[in-house]
Amino acid sequence: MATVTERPSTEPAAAELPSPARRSARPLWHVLAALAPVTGLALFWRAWQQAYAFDKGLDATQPGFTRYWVSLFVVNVAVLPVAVACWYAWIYRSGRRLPAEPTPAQELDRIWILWLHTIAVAVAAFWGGSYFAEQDAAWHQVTMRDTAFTPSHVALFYGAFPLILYAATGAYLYAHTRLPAAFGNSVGRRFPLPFLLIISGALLLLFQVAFNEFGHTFWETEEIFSAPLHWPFVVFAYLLGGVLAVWFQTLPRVVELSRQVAG
Amino acid sequence: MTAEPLRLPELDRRFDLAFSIVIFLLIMGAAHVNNMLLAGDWSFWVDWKDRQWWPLLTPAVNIVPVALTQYLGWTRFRAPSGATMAALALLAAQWLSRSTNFEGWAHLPMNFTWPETMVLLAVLMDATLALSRSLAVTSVIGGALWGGLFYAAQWPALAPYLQPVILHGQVLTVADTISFATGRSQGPEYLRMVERGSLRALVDDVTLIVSFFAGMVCVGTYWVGVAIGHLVAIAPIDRSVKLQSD
Repeated sequence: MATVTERPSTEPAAAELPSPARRSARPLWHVLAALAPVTGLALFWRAWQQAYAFDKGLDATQPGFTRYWVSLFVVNVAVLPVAVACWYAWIYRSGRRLPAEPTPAQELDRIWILWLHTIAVAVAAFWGGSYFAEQDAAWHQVTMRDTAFTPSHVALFYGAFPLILYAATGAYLYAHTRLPAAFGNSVGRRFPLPFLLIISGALLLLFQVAFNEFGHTFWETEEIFSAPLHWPFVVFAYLLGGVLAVWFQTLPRVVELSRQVAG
Repeated sequence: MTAEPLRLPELDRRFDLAFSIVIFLLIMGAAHVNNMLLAGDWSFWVDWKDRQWWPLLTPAVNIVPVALTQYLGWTRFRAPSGATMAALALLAAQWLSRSTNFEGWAHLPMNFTWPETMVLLAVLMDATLALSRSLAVTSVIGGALWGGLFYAAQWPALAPYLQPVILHGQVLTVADTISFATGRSQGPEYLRMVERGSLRALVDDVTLIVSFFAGMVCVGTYWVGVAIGHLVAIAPIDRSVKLQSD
C-alpha cells in the first residue's frame, strides 16, 4: 500500500526488526475465512437456482414453488437471522471479557480482524449489489412476473441484501466492543459516522425492496432495468464508501502500532 | 531532523492483502449497481446500443464511481491508477454476470449481451492525472476523453452488429435480427429506447455530436464522483453522530 508518511530518515527500517504479530499471522487463511461464509451461502443459492428455478419457479401457484422457493425464502428470513443473532451475542459477550487496555500487538490484531469483517461486508456487497442484482434482470427478461417472491428475489432481496446488513452490523459490533477508543463507549452515546453510512446503506436496500415491490404491483409487467423505480438502489452503492472511511480512520493507528510492535 | 516521505516497510503486508481484496469487491458491487440501474439496458442488449442515448448515458453515469475511486486513490495514496482499477472491476463484474447468469442461467447468448468496456478510457484518465497531477485538469481533459471517446472505444466490438441484413423484405441490422430471434418476454420491442429523430438534420454526424456532448457532460459528472467520494469516505473519518437528545 503506497501510504506516504513522514518519519525521520535516521530511524531504522522496522521491517528488519522482529515482529511477533507478523510471525503469528496467517493472513491468507484469515482472508479466506472472511470470504467463506458469505460466498458459501451465495454459491448455495446460485446452485439452487440453477437446479430448480426453471423447473419449479415459473408458476407461483404450483406446489413445487412452495416446496422449493417458499421454503428457501423462509430459511432466508427466519433461520439466517437467528444464526446471525447468535453471532452478534458471541461478539458482544466475548468482547466484555477482553482486557480493556489491549497491548499494541493485541490492538493491531483487533484492527486486523475488523478489516476482515470489512472483507465480509465487501464480498456481501459484491454478491448482493453486483451478481444477484444483475441476475434479476436476466430472470425478468425471460419470464413473466407473477409473484414478489421469484427465484431471483428469494436469493437477492431476502438473502443477499440482508446479508450485507448482517455483515455491516457485525463489523460495527466488533469495532464497538474491541476498539472502544475509536468506535466504542469512549465517544459516549454517539454512533460512528462511517458505520452509520454502511448500515444505513444496507437498511436502505430493505426499504427500497419494499418500495420496489410496491411499485411493481401497480404497472410493471414489463421490465426496464434502468427505470426510475430502481434508482434509489444506487444510493446504497455510494454509502458503501463508509467502509473506506473505516479503513482511513484505522490506517494511521495501524502504522503507529506496527512501529511499536516491530520495535 | 529532516523528514522525508517513505513507504513504511513496517506496515504489515496482510493489510495490503485485505485492502486489495476489499477495494476490488466493493467497486465491483458499487460500480455495477450504478451501471445496471442507471444505464443497464443499454449495457445488457446489443440492439439497445444506439448512437444517441448509449454514448451519452453510459459514460456519463459510469464516470461517477470511476472518478470516486481515482480521487481516493490519488488523494490518500498518490496512486494514479484508481480509474483503471474501477473500470477493470466493473468489467469483471459484468462479464461474470453476463456469462453465468444471462447465458448460463437465462440462456441469453453472450453475443447479444456483451457489456461495454471502459478500461481504455480509464487508462487515459489515469494517464492524464499522472501527467498533470491535478484533479481539475483530469476532470477537463480526462473527463472529455472519457465521454468523447466512449463510442469509438466500443466500435471494434459493435461494428459487426451494425451490418445490414434484409429479412422479410426489410433492412435490419444484425443486432435487430438477433433481437427479434431472442425471447425477452418482459422487454417488448416498444420499450426499447434507441435513437430517434424525424428531421435527421445532422444525418451521419450524430455520433460525433453525441460524443462531443458526452465529453462535456462527463467533465461535470466527474466532480459528482469526487464529491461523493469525499462525503462518504473522507468527511466521516473520526466523526460520529449523537443518538439521543439531552
